Amino acid sequence: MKTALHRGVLSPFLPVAFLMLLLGGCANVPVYEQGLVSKVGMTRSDSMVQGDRVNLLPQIEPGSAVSGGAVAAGCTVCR
Amino acid sequence: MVGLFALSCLTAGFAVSPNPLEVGGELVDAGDVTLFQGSWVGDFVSEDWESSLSLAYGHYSMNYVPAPFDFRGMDRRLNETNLAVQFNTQKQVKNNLSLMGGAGVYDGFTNYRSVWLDEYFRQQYSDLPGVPGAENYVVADPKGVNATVGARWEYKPGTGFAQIDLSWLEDDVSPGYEIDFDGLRRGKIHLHTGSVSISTENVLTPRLRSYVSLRSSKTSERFTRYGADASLYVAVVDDWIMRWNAGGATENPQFEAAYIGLALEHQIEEGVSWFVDGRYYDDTGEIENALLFTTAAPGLASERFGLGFRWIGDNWSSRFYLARLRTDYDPTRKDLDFFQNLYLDRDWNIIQVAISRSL
Repeated sequence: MKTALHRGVLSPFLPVAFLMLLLGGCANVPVYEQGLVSKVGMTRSDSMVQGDRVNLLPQIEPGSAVSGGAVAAGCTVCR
Repeated sequence: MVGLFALSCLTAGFAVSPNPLEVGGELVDAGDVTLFQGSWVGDFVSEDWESSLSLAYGHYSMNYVPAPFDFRGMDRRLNETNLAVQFNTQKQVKNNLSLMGGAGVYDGFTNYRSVWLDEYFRQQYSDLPGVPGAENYVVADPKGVNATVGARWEYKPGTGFAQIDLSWLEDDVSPGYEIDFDGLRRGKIHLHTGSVSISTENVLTPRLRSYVSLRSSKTSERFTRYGADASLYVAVVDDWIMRWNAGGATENPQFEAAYIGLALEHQIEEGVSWFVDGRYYDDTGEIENALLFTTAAPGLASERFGLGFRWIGDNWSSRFYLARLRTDYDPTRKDLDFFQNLYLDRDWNIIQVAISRSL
């Protein structure tokens, strides 16, 4: 393999995700202070205008189909 | 069918106002392979329900070029289309709880690699007189349905959200084939998939928003695939935004994938912004279960760099994005690899255009 980025990717990744979850549980940001985090580009969106997803990408990068979409990006024979 | 059902619900069940309507097109081109997807999405909001109906048209065209030693193979130009309809709805049942549901259907190949492989199998195995199992070859007719139910809990008003989704998919796929001294054998045509995902989105500080999603899915005759995806949105200063995204997936016996991306967006003035992004993806190659020759993709590394523009107006909004994607597969034994022209290193150009209208 050209790089080893994928090796054990979930082991460092999950603690970071878990930390973000914990921080979320501690956060208490009143609505009147959420002007910046509510702007377009700061919110997750399925909109083609407001989001930044490339819908055809999982056809080329099969491991990208993690959230949303069908599992159809896998190879034909394997399925 | 789902589309008609959705339309009848929307028009008969409750007073609706579309808000907004979106159309978009996406072109991914590498010269010998061209992928297109056009979409229309309408959001319909009533007092109790928020619903959306989406229609998508996909077109895949490519030059099929067999390996030099494939004496049964012939060059061909392939063209296939895909049509999909999806309906999603959600209803707020309590102040902090919404229930969601959705269903969809599609007809046609779901990716260009299936088209390429289907042509390979057609050329190799559709005409094998006297070979045991020759009758196992069938003309592919890929199609599928899906359904999803879920719940979204706003566990901290305006600040913290958690969501769970359960999905069910039934797919008729273009099957794979293998041949040996016992004759021609065919893989499964009908596949079932069940998946569950949990996600949470949180406002961490007045300048930080996070999103984390974990997912598992199980498809017929395969091990469970686990995946994770996380994003961090940072308002660096008032008119600069930074978006981090990272994720990965793993599936026994050998598939692992990971990706990381960064986008920087600058707001030039109210509603007008430009952005640049970059992304790196890496995987180990797909699951291999073939007997003699494998159709599974070798390991892949890819890099993407893009530039975009977004305009948000009172009624009309639009987005334009250009990117370059380079894919680099692990080397295979060229004297054995029938699929070397499918899993070819390519430079892809990506163009996205989307326009929305709020009514």
